[in-house]
Amino acid sequence: MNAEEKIFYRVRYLICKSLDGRIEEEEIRELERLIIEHPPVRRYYVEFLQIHTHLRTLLEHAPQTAASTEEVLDAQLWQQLARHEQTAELVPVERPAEPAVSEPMTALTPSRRRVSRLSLFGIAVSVAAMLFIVVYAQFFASPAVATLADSVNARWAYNQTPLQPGDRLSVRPKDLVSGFVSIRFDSGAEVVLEGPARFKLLSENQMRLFNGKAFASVPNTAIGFTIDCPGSRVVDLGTEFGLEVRSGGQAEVHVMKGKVNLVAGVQGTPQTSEILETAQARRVEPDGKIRPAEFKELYFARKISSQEQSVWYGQTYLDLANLAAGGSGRESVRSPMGIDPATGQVHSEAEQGYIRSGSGTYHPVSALPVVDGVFVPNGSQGPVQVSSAGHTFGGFPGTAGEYWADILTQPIIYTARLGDNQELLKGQPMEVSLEPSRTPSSVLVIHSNAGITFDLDALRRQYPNLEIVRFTARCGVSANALAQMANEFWVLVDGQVRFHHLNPHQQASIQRIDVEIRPEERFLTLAATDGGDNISYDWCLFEQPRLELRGKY
Amino acid sequence: MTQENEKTSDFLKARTPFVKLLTANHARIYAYIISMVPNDSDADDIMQETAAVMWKNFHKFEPGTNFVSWAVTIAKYQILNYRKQNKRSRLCLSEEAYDLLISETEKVQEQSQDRLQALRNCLNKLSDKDQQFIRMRYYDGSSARLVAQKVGASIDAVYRYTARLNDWLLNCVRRTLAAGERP
Repeated sequence: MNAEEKIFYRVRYLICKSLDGRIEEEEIRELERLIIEHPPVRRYYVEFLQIHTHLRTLLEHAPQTAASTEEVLDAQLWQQLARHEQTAELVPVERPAEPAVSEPMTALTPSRRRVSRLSLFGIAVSVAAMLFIVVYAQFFASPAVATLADSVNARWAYNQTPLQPGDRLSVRPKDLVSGFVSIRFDSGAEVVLEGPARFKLLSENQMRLFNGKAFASVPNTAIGFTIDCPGSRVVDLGTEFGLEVRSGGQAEVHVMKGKVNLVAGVQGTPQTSEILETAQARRVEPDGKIRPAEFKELYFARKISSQEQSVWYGQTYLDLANLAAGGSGRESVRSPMGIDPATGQVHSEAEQGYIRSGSGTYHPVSALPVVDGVFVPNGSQGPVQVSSAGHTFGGFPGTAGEYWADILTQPIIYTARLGDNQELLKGQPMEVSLEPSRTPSSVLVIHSNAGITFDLDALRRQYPNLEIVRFTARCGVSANALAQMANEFWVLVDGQVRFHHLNPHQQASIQRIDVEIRPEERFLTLAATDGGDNISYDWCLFEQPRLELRGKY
Repeated sequence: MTQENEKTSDFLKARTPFVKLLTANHARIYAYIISMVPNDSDADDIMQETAAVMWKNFHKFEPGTNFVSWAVTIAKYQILNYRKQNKRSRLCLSEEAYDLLISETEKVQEQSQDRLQALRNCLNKLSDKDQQFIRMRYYDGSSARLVAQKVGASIDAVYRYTARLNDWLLNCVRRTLAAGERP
């Protein structure tokens, strides 16, 4: 062997040793030196590595012993990868452990079926099986399938890197300890999660919820978006739905809009499925049975905003006019009812159109839990009681203690007409509104002198996940009042004045009310007084009287 | 199609550009990696990590630009990380050596398909005993130690035997290509 042959002899020996992982430090330095000092070695080195790599590709699977490459990749690969999916971390396929010693040579049979990463590619290249590239990518390269769109007060589990809005999210499981995140999937579906929640993204259009609350909004392009939970699966058919999984494995789905297909069943038992529509809810027990459930509209956080630090549960306000009429506060329904401020009685047909007197005392309204009570404000006898808890307000001016109408929730006031004996009689009904020809969608008509107090705690009990943050309304006298008289508007919270406006004679104006409400405050009072002249034409309106709600966090 | 396959093909559809590029270029990328880290398991790991980083950053890749260059840049960074891990810093060629190999790697990769086909033919020209040895050495999961145990030789002897056979195959492939025979 000449000098050159000796070099190549040495080079190939070192390469083999290195490829096998057993090369010594000084040996690799020697190999390096040979590459640097002898140019012909470089081509040889590179070619040798390619021979080696090609041999791995050709021989690692002993393809002639498998029924087909697909079979090889199919069964074992899926099994192996499924196994890895169940563990919380994505672990690359292990290098196969070295089997026991002294296997006879004939034992090199197709039963050895572990997959090396390189051969995955090798086969993929030769078979053009894109499927396996995808599998490789999906299970080995942890691709991202969604983006974290926003987060509010999100706290993640200790072993989790905190995620920021804009981060791409991979298919690894995630543990949200508290707070809210909103995730946009590449398919277009959006999910808001409320911690504590443990979940895992499966693909651009599928996720798994191990426990916690999720709300999905799914556009048409992403129909088929699916959330798996233990024992069931909700497939979206173009909709918005909320899903909660409790620690016992019980799941509840509530459909806000559209339709979903709920599929329930544990492994091994036949599955049942049901299509749910808007405002329907079902519970899936851990045993896989579907049971009816009460639909909870405001139970799921639907939108979050880190900019405003707010969480929207599907409702921003409750309408006080609707609440006073005995409604839920969520719709605008014209109701002919009225509440008599002098007695607290609820009339199904409101009484109005003649003068009545009130004694000035406070009258609880037991028929409506949200209405604490009503009264006829008259400050001439001292502070007026404005709540059942005994709050009083000393700022009301003296009034005649007279009033014209029940507190009304629909915008109709009867004018007066003079009877034969000059007595005031009920005249024509007039549609009232702050702006001419613009009927408000909701209004509390509080003709002077009258006041009504709402019990906010009654609402807080109904919506434990929500916080009442402010009261807003527009107040003024109806634009078509036959004369512009003086009148005053009042908004009190727990007996303290938070808004007051006096319309002087012939100088009526519309005012905007925006009163902040704190969690410890309970009673909200709206009242109108006659402004010092009589009650004539004091068609006082509170238009769009709303309580603005926010999610609690 | 099973549920899994349905999901996967949807998944695939959305990632076709990356998948196509990676499928087409994986061997070249791997060749660069293994030339600097001539070690099977480490090169495999680095390839995997590189693919993962490429995937994550694919939105930054400008379509039409050189995918392999981009990949190799990422790969070199992964190799740097790999070198920082104490145990392994030795099993890696220096930058200087690597740079000298780049153009050879490119040339050899260009001929990859022809060389692979030539190798298939050359394999069949080996004696039965040699073929058996090669299959045993390269069968999935095998190692020199295992083969040494099977054949009752020293590990070193296995290296020398493997080296000899690969050298023969290398020269056979060269001859095949030089002869201009379309293998």
